[in-house]
This record gives sequence, C-alpha cells and structure tokens, in this order.
Amino acid sequence: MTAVSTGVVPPAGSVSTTLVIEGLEISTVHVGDTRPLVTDVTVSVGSGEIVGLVGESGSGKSLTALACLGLLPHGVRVTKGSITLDGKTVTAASEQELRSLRGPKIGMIFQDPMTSLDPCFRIGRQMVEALTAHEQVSKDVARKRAIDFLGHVGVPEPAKRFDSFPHELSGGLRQRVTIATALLLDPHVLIADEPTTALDVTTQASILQLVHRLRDELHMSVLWISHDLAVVAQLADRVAVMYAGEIVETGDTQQIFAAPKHHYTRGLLDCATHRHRGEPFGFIDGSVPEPTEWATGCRFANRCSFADSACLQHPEVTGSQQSGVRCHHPRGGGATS
Amino acid sequence: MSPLVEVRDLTKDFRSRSGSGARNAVDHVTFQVAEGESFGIVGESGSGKTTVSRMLLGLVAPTSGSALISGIDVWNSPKAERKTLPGIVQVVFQDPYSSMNPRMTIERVLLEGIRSQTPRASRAAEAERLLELVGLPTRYAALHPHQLSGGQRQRVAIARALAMNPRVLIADEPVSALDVSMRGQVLNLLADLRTQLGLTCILISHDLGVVRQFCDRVVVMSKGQIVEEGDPDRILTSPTHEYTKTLVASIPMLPPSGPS
Repeated sequence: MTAVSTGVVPPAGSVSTTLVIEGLEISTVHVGDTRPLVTDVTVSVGSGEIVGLVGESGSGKSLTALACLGLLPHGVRVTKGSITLDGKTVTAASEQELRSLRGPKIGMIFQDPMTSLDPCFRIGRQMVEALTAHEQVSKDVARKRAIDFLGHVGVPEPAKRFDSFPHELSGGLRQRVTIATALLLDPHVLIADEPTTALDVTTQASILQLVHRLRDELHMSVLWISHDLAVVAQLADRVAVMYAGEIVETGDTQQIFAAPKHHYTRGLLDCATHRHRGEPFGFIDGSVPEPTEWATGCRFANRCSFADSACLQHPEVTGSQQSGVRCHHPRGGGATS
Repeated sequence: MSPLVEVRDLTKDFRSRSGSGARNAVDHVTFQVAEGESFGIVGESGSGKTTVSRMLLGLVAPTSGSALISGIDVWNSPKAERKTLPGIVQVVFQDPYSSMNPRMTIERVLLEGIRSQTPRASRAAEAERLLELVGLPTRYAALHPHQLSGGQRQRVAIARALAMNPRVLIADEPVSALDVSMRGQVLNLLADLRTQLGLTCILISHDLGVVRQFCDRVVVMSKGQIVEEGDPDRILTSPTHEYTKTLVASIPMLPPSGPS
C-alpha cells in the first residue's frame, strides 16, 4: 500500500481533495471465482485540479473511471478499497444514492459522442432531461439554461442547435454537447474518458482549451483519462500512469515529463516523441499483458531491459501518494539504473 | 522517367440521396509520386485523403480526372491491363480487426491473393517467408486473427500486401488503431521494408509528426483540396497556408524531456 493519505501534505494550489480513490481493486466475480482486473489503485483529485490518468488499452483506466460512477458492467465489482466523493463513499452507496451523485456531484464524458447521445431525440430534449431528472425546474428555465451552456462550451447558434438531432452535428460539436450536458448540473468532479480520441487535432485543441477555461471559471476537478501523453502534458496538473491494472507512477506533470522514474513511463514518452526524418520510431517491445497473464512479480518486467531477479517480487509504491513509483530499479537515484 | 503514381485533376462528388446538391469529397487533386519515394497525405477526417486512396486502388470510381499507376489508368485502361494492378499496388488498412476474415487462418489470409498461382506444395513455405519478412514467428501461420494482438495483426496485414510483390504500398492510417507502445514497431517495420524491397509508399495519416519522420514529401488536404505541398520539415516549421498553420498549432507537443 501507499503512504497513508492523511499524512501527505497536498501540493500548493489544491485546496481540498474532492475525489479520493484508495487501494481500489476491481474484479470479475463468477461463482466462486474472483479475478482481479484492477489492483491497488490510489489516486486523488483535488478541488480545481486536473489529474491525467494515462495508460494503454487494457491497463484498467476506463474501469477505474466507471467505478467512480458506480457504473461497472454486470459481473464486475469493486472487491477492495474505496472511492470517496466529497467525503461520501461511492463504493458503499445504494443505487438510489448513486443516482443523486451522478450529475450534480460527478459528471462523465465518454469517448464516442455518437454512442452517448440518443440518435432518436433532439439534443435539447436530452439536455433538458438530464436537468429535470435532478432539479425541479420548469421547461422554459431548463431550456434557457441548456442553451446558455451550449453557448458556453462554444457551440455556435446554440438556440438553433438546441433543436438539432445528433447526426446533424459534427463530431466536435457532438462532444461539446455531451460536455455541456455534463456541466448543466454543475458537478464537482468531471471524469473524461478519452473524450478527444475520436476527434480531429484541431477540434481536440479547442476542447482542451475549453476544459482549461471551465476549470478556471467553475473551479471544477477533472480526472482526464487518455492514452496520449502529449494531450495530458498540455492539460494536467498531475499525472498517474497505469499499466496492467495498477498505477506505476504518479507525480507532477512537469516532473513526470522531465524526469520519469518508471521505465514504462520513459518508454511511453519515447513512443510519443517525434523525431527527424529517417530516424527510427520509439517503441516498447512486447505488448500489454491480459489480466490472466500478469506476472506475480513486476508486471512490466518482461518488457523492461532493467529487470533482474529483484523484479520477481511484486514492487510496492515508494515515495508519497503525490509522487510515487512502483519499481525496484527506478530511474535516477536507483542503485542499478 | 515518368512517375510511378500520377493523379490528375482527380475529383469525386458524392450526391446526397435526395439528389439535391453534390459534395466535392475530392476536388481536382493532382500529384505525382516517383518510384521509391515515400509520400504522405495529411488531413483531418472528411478531408478526402482516404477517398483519394480508394480511387487509386480502384475501389471508388472518380467523377472526373484520372489516376495512373505505372502508366496504367486505374479506371480507363483496357481490362487486361487493369487486371495487373493488384500486382503493382497493395494496401494496408487502418483497422486490423475488421480487415481480416476471422474464419481464415493466418496462412489463408496471407495467401488469399496468390493462392491460385501458388502450387499447393509451396504454399506453407511462402506463408513462412512472409511471416519472417514482417518479424512474426512462423507458427502463427496456423492461428486465427483473433489470437493475435493488434500490432501483430497489422504485421500480418503488411505481409498480406507484400505477398503480391507490389511496387506501391498504400498505408491508410496504419497505426492509429494501435496502442502507443506498438505504433513505433509497425512504423519501423514499414520503413525497413521500404528500403529493403525498394517500395514506393503512400502514407495517409492525420498525424503530421509521424509523416514528418516517415515521408520525403507530403501534401496537406482540406475539404477535398490540396492546400499545401512540400518537405514535411518545412511544413511543420513554417507552414504557409492558413489551414496548415491551424493544423500545426493544434498538435499537442510533449515538453522537452530529460536524457533517455
């Protein structure tokens, strides 16, 4: 386990911690058979802070996000640890309590705006529905607020777009609609699961700007999930790197990019670095193991050139919760690196 | 010497179902690719870059204009000539999950194009040669696509394209469906094969960074038109067209990192 959270002084700037994920384990549960998919994940997001959760597909980052909303798929459960939101334990909440949390307390944007919007209804109706489900407001007020928010997130002619169907909008506009819908209820925490992966770079750039602006204006906390280090570098205050169901490194964005401690983080940075013509592209040999193939020791050892006999033991996180690494031979300061 | 690939005023209109108004998916696009060159087409979704490649492959009929590969007009040459095209130009698609028949073994996938010309006795050897060429273990010949990872599948897709011994390889977003840690492997493989086999490559991508590292020359497409053409380094450092400027400014950049 990591350092006890109460003993850690939060960095300057983050006032209080809004979302706390501690020692989280998520498993598939069949009759008498429990298989972990995510183990020992500890992350916290302070008020007004943007935390980037980085990892490749299969690292468990989306499951972690879904667990925060109590939306894990059937047969998958939180088997250890806890998630607390503004002091309230999400992992122990009833379905009714969860309903009251989703929306006003915690909002989510998904990767593909085409599947998170219903193609059969005008976007206005879908936005108003989100609002009236939680608050007693008249249709007119709801409509006005929805149009306001559409304008706020940069949808041109919001009053006209209010009556559009999802298919009439471009991918970027659709994603803005889902962001506006999530923001309608003024959530304390926004979880964004690869929200720009399906979008063009120019659209992505404007969405990133928008998130920055909203954080500053609404003092919202954001957990931003992405496989793209460059995007996270631009957006996040802090970064947590996930690999094979666990967090392998956490730290300040600047520190992670300037001096990564885990060899996996270093490798990911290498992959994302653009070089000059004719130079070879960076890569990490091998592929992310399936949960059934996790090594009992360090899960990254078989892809790591620094692995030795010590790595047959599963490494614990060293350092603090704010800046920790799960490696026997961390870069810079480790005895063997 | 005439260029290996020549595209002249290529245009494609898609008509809406109601028949009212046509949309220029590709609007008078002209470019040439010399033998052995590595050529990039960059643009956002909807810019027409994939439609250009599909017209080159004979999969989408142009509204007007022409596409010539090795002097053969993809759409207007006599059928006997056009039938030789699959031996000259091959393609690697974006999604290695949907571009392979899940019921075929990898050997069958690899040899699909040359099956009739390859005697039964030498098929296994040919499949092994292709797998070795792309750095996969030969035992994979007996597996099915679902048993392979995305990166491995994309290697199979490259091997399948190379089975025909093409001179031109079109790669349409070959790594955007792959995990970050695997993209480099596939791109390095493509670059190695290009020098090893003297291939002419057309790389279609939305990622200017990848194109800069891979290509000798690049065209930037926007709304069906080529808006800028030239050396990838020059385009990244000093773009001239407004659209290219926006595109370059939008690329998220890593902060300078410490020593590796």
